[in-house]
Amino acid sequence: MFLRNQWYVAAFDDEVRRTPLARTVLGEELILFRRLDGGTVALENRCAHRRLPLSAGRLVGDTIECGYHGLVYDCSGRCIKIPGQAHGPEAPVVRAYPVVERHRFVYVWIGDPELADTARIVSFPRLSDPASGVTKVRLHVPANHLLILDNLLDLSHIAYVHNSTIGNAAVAEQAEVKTRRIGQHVRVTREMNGVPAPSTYAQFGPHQGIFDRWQLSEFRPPGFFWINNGSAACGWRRADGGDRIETQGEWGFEVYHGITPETATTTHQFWTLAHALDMVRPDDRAEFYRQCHHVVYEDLAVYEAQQRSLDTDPAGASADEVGSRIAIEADRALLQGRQVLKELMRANHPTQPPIPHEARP
Amino acid sequence: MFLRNHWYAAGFPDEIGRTLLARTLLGEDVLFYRRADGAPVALENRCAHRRLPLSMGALVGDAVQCGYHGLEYDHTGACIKIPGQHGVPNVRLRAYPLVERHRYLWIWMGDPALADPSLIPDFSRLDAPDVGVTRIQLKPDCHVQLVIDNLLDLSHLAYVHNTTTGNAALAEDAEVRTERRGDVVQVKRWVRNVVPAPTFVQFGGYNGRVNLWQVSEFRPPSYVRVSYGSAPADQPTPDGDDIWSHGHWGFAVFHGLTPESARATHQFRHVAHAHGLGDAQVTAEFYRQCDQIIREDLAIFAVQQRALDAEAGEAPPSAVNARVAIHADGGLLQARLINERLMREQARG
Amino acid sequence: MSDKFVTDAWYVAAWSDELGPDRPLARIVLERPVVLYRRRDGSPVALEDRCIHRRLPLSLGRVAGDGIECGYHGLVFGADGRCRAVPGQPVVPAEARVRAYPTVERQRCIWIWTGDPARADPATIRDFPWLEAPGWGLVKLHARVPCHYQLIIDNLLDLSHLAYVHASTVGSRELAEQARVRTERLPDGVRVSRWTLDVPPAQTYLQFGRYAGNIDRWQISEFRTPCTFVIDNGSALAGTGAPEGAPGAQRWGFMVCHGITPETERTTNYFWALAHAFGADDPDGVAEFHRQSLQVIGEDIAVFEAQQRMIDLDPAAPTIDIGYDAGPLQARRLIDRLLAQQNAAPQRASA
Repeated sequence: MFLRNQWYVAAFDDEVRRTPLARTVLGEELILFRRLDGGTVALENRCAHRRLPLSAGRLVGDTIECGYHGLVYDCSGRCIKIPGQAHGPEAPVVRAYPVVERHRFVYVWIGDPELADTARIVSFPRLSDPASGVTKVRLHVPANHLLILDNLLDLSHIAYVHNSTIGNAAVAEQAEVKTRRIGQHVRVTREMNGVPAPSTYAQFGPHQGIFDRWQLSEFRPPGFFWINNGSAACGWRRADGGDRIETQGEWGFEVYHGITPETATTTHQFWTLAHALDMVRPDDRAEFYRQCHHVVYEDLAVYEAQQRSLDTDPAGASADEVGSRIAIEADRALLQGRQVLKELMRANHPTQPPIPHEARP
Repeated sequence: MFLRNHWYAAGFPDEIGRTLLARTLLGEDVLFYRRADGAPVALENRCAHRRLPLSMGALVGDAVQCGYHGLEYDHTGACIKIPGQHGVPNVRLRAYPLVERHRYLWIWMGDPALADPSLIPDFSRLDAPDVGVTRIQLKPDCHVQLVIDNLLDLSHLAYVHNTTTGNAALAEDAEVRTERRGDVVQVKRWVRNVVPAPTFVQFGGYNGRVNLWQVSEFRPPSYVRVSYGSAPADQPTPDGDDIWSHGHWGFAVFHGLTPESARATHQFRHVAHAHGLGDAQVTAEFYRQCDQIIREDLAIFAVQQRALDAEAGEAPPSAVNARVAIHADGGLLQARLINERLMREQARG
Repeated sequence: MSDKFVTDAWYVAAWSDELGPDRPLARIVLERPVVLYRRRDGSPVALEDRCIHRRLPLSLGRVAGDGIECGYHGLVFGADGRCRAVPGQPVVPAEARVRAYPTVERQRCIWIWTGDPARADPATIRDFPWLEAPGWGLVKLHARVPCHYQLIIDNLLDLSHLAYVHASTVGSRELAEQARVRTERLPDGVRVSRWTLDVPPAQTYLQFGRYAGNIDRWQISEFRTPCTFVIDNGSALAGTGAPEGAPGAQRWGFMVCHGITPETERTTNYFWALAHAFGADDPDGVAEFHRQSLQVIGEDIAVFEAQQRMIDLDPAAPTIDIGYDAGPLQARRLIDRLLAQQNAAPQRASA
């Protein structure tokens, strides 16, 4: 059901602290915490003894003590103490997950730990660049992750869903759209020339009337999106002659998403936005961020309604089948995105399932 | 799914009277009330006509009248009246044998012909004139097995109840002995020459080190009684049946555990202690701590059950095997084996 | 696909006053998600509430002229369900359509037909003239009840239950113990007529009928398959000829119209409307009468919820029937027969 043997965002860096955090990722229940030296740890969130989540226990130094009968586990998941007995059976173990912290995200490898390759981490260095203003939100989305992929690879929806902030009819009706597959990435670009500036752009950017605007949305498996928003005076081009589509032009911002399935019907969405400091005055930032957050919540309402629509379909529909009955031109990119995921699932050799739940000798 | 031919705690006698009370036990909805002479009645809580719970109706003399179309049933469950017609079909709702004893209402959930009151557990300590008693009623959101597990491994006091009756010594320094005689399991624990936990300091009046002893006793299907005793460290610790004594200070706990469903349990608990605890305020504070303890366990049970549900789906907790058994599990594992054997015998009929 | 509900029938989808001029209303009818909205001329439209593109409920979009615009990517659907426009492309895919349901607005109700549209004949819509009769007062309710619709039909065809469920208002013991009951098959339904003669009036009848002595009381419940009722409740002074067909002295009463529309197998949209000719000169009295009437329907809803809970706990528990069940059993047989015919028929236009 999910694409395993991948790095997924499990948390923002500031969520992982010296108190344990419980989180479910691709159906696996994790506990996350920080060691005394600041490093991050991710373990299976289940005491091997009576199955109580370890997150109900407490951190003692760099070990976690189960809150029921006091079994103690170290960072590798090995039980190093059982109260009241000197030598027990072979030490029980809970699963330890490879974990890496990079540019505000804490990534966890879901799959065969032997295959964990940090070179495959998808990260966004701009999020730790001091020259950028950054805002971020974690959402718990009551919907399958594919519905989010559909949304982010067809930005025409901005015209309808977000028409009080960043969207207007021109986004859907006057865009020149190009879709391209680059290896395992899918990129869709939209250029809208000589269109009215929507509310948020008019309020915070330099143009209030007609302008040029462009968007780039790129999907990077297993669930990362880079969205570049730029705008400028009509006809503006880069001084060096390069393609403006990857830049913000005279005014714009970038949005990065880490999308991590929780279950078949729920998803963690780690949303971040970065902008050049001089593009939004300090006094304006609170309101600009509020409008951008509002956009995310409008999408959340859509996902929830779609998932409910699927759940109540008497024919038992799933997110895989959404849009199976018709396709419109704007669907080209998301269909490619879904295709990439299918290819990767097929290419994935079957991995070891999670440690089976039998008593160990 | 449940052991049926047993007495189960249905509630406390003063909960029922001349009004209708409904409670779900072993997945069955049961109606309780008293006849005019005070005799308690337990009937299937569902009108045979259109299934309205009888608890939504009314008492008419010693009969219960359904609140929908007025059908009346007597205390044996027989339908004795149908408004608007003379004939009464041969309909009898299930009636459950009911006995009041040791401050509990006991209900027999199986074949009434097998209902033998001598099988009611001996909680007679609760009838003694020289004890003070407090009680509480809770509904842990978990399978009954998880509550039994908890009561048969008292090492958990060190972690779960470490502001009242537990400290690390109870888990790390205890001598533990598990004994089985027939279908009775006893887990006995001694800790010697240790610093007492807060509750014992406060009510036992200790200044220095103590010896502590505990015994948990399980009888199927789910009767558990627990006794705590303590004495200054220079005094001998009891063995044999004396382990049920309280020494210098202690108390006894009685649990009537009755499944509501596969995922919820009725817990009717009494604590008995010798009089002379102190004045009313001191006693109230002891009772408050007893209630706090049981609520701390409640939080554990809910989290455990959710974890088991995620792994096992519809299977009972015993189907989810631990990856490790520790010494302290001896008693609860025996209890599980006894109940599993009884379930198999029941299935064979 | 075998249906659990009789689909070739008109059902109440909403009260007229639940549907405003430019806000779509979402409702589930016979397990089908439906969006209702009004055209520019005010006439109602009912479409499948699920955009064919990415399945967002169309009810989250907005009314656009005579059509509805999906709130996700702006596809516009006309009242016939066909997509009229897809933003950003000139061509509309031929398959881009959603199901359109025949809809009729009449007598304060919006009726919907979920079966084969070719058989949707407005002439077969149940007549509720009292809901618009000049000079008549009205109190009505839409409740989404967590029960199977059968439980409501059973309740309305055995009105002995007033004696127990509504004992503080419209019920009295005699209704259960002394009534003369006649059950008749109709071409497409069941009528249960109950007469309780020479009995003290129940509280509500005493209060508003202002009787000094005993009354003759009637309850005529007329069920038409699959899901509508008209119930005539009335009384007159005992022995003044009402049972024989005469108007009788000090005649009092009211009519109740019911639209019972299944939502799922466990939930029902219940439309209940009580109309009365008395009280034009006594607004305070009418307010109290309405309050008592709403209490009555609330008591029934509590019964339905409890029954459904018991059914869900143990669906296989056996039930018995008593004498008064003749009417409800007839109704069940009629509905079962319609369902059997419907499911045996060859596959028709897509459901």
